[in-house]
Amino acid sequence: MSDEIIITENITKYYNRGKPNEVLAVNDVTIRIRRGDIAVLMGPSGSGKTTLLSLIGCMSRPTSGRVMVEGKDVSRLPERFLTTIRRKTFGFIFQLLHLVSGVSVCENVMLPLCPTDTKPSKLRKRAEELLESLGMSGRKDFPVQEISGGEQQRTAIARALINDPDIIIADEPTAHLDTHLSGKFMTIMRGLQEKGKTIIIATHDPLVYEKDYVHLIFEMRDGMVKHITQRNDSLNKKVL
Amino acid sequence: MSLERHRNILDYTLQALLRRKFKNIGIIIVFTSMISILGSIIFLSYSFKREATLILNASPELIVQRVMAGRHDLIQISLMKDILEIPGVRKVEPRFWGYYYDSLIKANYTLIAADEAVLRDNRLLKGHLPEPQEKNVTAIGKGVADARLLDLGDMFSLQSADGRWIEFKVIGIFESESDLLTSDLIIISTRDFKSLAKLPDGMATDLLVSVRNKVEAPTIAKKIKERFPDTRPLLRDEIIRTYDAVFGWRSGLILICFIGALTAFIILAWDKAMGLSAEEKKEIGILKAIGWETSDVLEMKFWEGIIVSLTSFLTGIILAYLHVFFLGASLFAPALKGWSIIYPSFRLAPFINPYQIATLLAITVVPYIASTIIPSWKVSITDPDELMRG
Repeated sequence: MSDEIIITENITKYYNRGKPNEVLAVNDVTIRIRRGDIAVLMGPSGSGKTTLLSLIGCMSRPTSGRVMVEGKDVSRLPERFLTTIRRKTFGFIFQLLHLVSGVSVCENVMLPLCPTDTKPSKLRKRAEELLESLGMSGRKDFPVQEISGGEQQRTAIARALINDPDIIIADEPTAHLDTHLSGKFMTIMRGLQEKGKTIIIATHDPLVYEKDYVHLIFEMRDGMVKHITQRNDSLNKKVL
Repeated sequence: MSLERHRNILDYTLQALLRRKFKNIGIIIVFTSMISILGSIIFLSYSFKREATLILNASPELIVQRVMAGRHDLIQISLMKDILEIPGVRKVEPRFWGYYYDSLIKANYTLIAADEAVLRDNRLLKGHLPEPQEKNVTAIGKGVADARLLDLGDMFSLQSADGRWIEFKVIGIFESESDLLTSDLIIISTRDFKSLAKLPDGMATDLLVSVRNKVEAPTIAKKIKERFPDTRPLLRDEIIRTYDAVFGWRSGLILICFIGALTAFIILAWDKAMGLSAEEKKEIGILKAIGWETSDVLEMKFWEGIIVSLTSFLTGIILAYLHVFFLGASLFAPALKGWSIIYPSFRLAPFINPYQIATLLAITVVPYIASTIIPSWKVSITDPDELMRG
């Protein structure tokens, strides 16, 4: 049985297809990511990293090609099935974090599991435990707009972990963080990876992709994967 | 599916409403105002119609008046004998009544001579009604008593047709099931009425005709008209229909006066139905991205719509109820009552038609919820990535 948790086969994504402002965001991309890997999508702005992440994370559908998640083709599934997959399989850390303003830190963390049969008290307890593990227990009742950027980042991480996902997707997670916090972020990711999570990060920050525990680096440009670097713990070899 | 899911979504919805509290308060205020206006008009016109129906239910099937040059004139009592001969007629009684304008408090009273019908339909609060031949005594409606600060034993002056002031002693204060009937009523003896109004002998204001079978009333009316062309037989059912039409017309007129407010409400609902704000779309995108299903989003929006609209509806209905039945419907009553605004004031008995409340609910709350859910549905079936990009 393959331990590849994510496979994309020749996926292409157009925005505004057939209109004057048509954009080819991802062009014929094929990648494979194993369970437990830390994979990085690297490239300049506009290279298609965010779009590829959204395709992998079932937040949009490819114009053509296939996306396989845990062996299942999710490319053409109805939205309600995609939602269930998103909730059970993925944890998202968005580039702009997308925390709900006006809602407290703890309640933001609880949001992904709100529409489930989890008792509110259990949900809150789990959220508080996560926040404590990230050093945020003192801020749990603060509205998110009143905390610092790094604290918001950790809130977003906690929200991504509340449903205990197998795959964590982070889009430019260190874009608004200083060196110290960026390092902390990668330490957290490493810790999650050691617990068996698969981490996929889109970034152009060398502080992220130069870490030696990153297993795969996909260099992207103009919507295509130009180069793949595969590392394991002792070996660093270029592929492609 | 357990209740926990619904509780969690409801909890989030309440928070979402509080996050946009100024906008939602504005909507609630406008919505509540609309409902209270509509509710007041419905309550008031229905109560008036109901009151009028109550009055008329107790009256005989036919009232025969004499008409002179198109206006109501006195009728000969001698016609009673001829009318009694018409098959189907059970009883004919003369009625003596008229209006009296009290310049002191600028009110119109209805003056009526004591008779059996009056005695039958009223409940005395204090004292007794005058006998037909009793002199210089009166029983008055509670409205008159309150307006003129009269009690049992007090003296009450009325000016006769020839300018003389005649004093009457208050011997009874009464009310009936309908305040509209008796609030402005003054009952004096038949003898005193004839003296006060300078009524010629052998004449009455109109004749009350009771029939054996009410289905025959229109036929009997036709026969009376044929036999006495200068009379005008009024069917009770026709009077009820006229009241209905008048109140319906007047309440429609009031509605038109509030067309501005109604238009504002329609624009508000239309604006809601047209689409969500960028902030709301983005929030739905985030919720979908982190695992909320379309049905979860729609349930949230449903709760949002229900909370706002039901709060507004119930508040509006309560305000309308208080306005009409406790504050005398001061905003609309003059328009609905028409010339009778110079009645002494009276309080309407609360008559509420559940069918009308349900109709009002259906035409306000239901469209509002639909205008909340439909644009949300359109957004929530969109890919979350597209929503979050803006």
